[in-house]
Amino acid sequence: MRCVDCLPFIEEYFDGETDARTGASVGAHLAACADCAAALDALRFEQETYARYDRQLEVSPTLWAAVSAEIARGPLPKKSGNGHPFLARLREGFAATLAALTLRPALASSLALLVVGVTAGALWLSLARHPAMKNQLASNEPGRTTTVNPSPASTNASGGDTPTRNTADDGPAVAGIGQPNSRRESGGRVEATRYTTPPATSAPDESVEKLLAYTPPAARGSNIVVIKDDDHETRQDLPVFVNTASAGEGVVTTDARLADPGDKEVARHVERAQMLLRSFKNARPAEGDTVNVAYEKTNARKLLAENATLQLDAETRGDKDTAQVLDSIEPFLLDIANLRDQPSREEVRSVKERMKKTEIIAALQVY
Amino acid sequence: MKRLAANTMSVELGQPGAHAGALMNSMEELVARVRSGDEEAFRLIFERYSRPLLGFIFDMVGDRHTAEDLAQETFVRAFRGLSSLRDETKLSTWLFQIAKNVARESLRSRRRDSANVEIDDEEVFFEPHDHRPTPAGQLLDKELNGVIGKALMRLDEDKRLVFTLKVLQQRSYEEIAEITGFSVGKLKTDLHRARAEMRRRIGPYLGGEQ
Repeated sequence: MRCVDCLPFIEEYFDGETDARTGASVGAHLAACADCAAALDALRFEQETYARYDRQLEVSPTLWAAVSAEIARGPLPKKSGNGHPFLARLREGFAATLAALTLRPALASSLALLVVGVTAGALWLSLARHPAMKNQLASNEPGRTTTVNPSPASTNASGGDTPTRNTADDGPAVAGIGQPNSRRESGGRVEATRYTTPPATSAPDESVEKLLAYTPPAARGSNIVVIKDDDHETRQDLPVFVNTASAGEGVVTTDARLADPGDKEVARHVERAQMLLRSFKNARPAEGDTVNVAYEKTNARKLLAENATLQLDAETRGDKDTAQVLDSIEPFLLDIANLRDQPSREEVRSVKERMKKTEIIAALQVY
Repeated sequence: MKRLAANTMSVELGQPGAHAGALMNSMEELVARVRSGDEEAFRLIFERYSRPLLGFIFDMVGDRHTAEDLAQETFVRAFRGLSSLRDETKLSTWLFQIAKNVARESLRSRRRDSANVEIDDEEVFFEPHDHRPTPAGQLLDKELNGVIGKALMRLDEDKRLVFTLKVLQQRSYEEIAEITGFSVGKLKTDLHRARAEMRRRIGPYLGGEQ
């Protein structure tokens, strides 16, 4: 073996990782070659130096206390095999029940019917407790009509008959949505449309754009859905989605996607919004003075619709905290959704500054 | 205990591998006891591995308090995930895997937090521990500790990982490959480069080389 063949293996040899044959060759060469032996000695000396490296670390007694406290809070490790006698008994019991049902088809079918009955009952009860869903179901029944009437006791000072649209430029009713929404641009614009109850004499706004917008009741005037049948009239204060394609004489549909999304869905949404805002925050100028935020824009539009649905649901449930968090996200989603595909650095910077000022990302992180 | 004593005797009598076997058995037993809910057994595992794991994490993150927090996280994750350990004889490798993941996650989040902040790595880590006057030898050792620590932190993450596991933790290539998920070829290359970088940085302490 020559030096050029030996040196590439010298670290491996020192680490004891060469195979037997290579190790023997390298060892034989080292015995005869002073230069290669010196290289090995240098490695040894290095290792001795690193062996003296003292991090001055001691395992503090509090470390075990902290670990112990933490694992006491959480679940025990899952058992493998037949470890836990209780689980084994449970499994055996379940197997025995299945075997019994297999042998008695009549009993099995009775149990199945019972399960179906209980499930249907629970479903009916949950729908009955959810007025919005109940109304939505009711609106689909034949013989019923759904109309919107203004609330006589509207919180809006003007009061009135027909919901009209207030956009960012329309004044104070929109100020609560957030200043980031105050710019207007042409082309593909998404607007947060707020409905309030206008003066009694006002006509329906004919220029309502084709968009889906909703109106959380806590934020603006009441939206009364009146459900009529032959001898009953039920008034329900509901946030509504306006199908602007048919926006005429106050006719709206109750296309409120009111299925209960649950906390997990809200958490996922908030996380997605947080990721979007982070992504936007990290967007850097691509070419010239523009920033490519097409991806963020598309996502913001998707999240905007979802945000509206979840906010509506939170308000319906009376979950003010969640509604407030979602409300705080909305202006930024709107801002990003309304940007051009290649906005100027200045436009992006203004949104970023508002994000920084309101610390929205940090707020979402702790949600 | 009897078996442990017998194994210790066999080691003293010079039978190779006997002590390792005893340790393996005891670790397997400990794992089985933890799985059956015995927290005391987990404390014994903690006592056995807390020091090397704390050292390893410290070498990766370069900060004492963070290392302690991450060591805690490592043991908590280990306890909760013990069911996923298939081969009890590889408990040590498995623990180092968890520690590596925990340390890397921390480094990643730290990078994110300081994305736009220029860090002067000469000043960030390794504060002096003790300002009292010390004998010259101790002073030199302390200086060496600081130099090695700083040089380590200037290695890139993969090289630091491999260097720490091989040179400071004396793990085999096979174990390192299991812990890191790197191929043996990659880890050999990284280790060679890491050694060369470290040699360049701590040259004056290696007898005037470089």
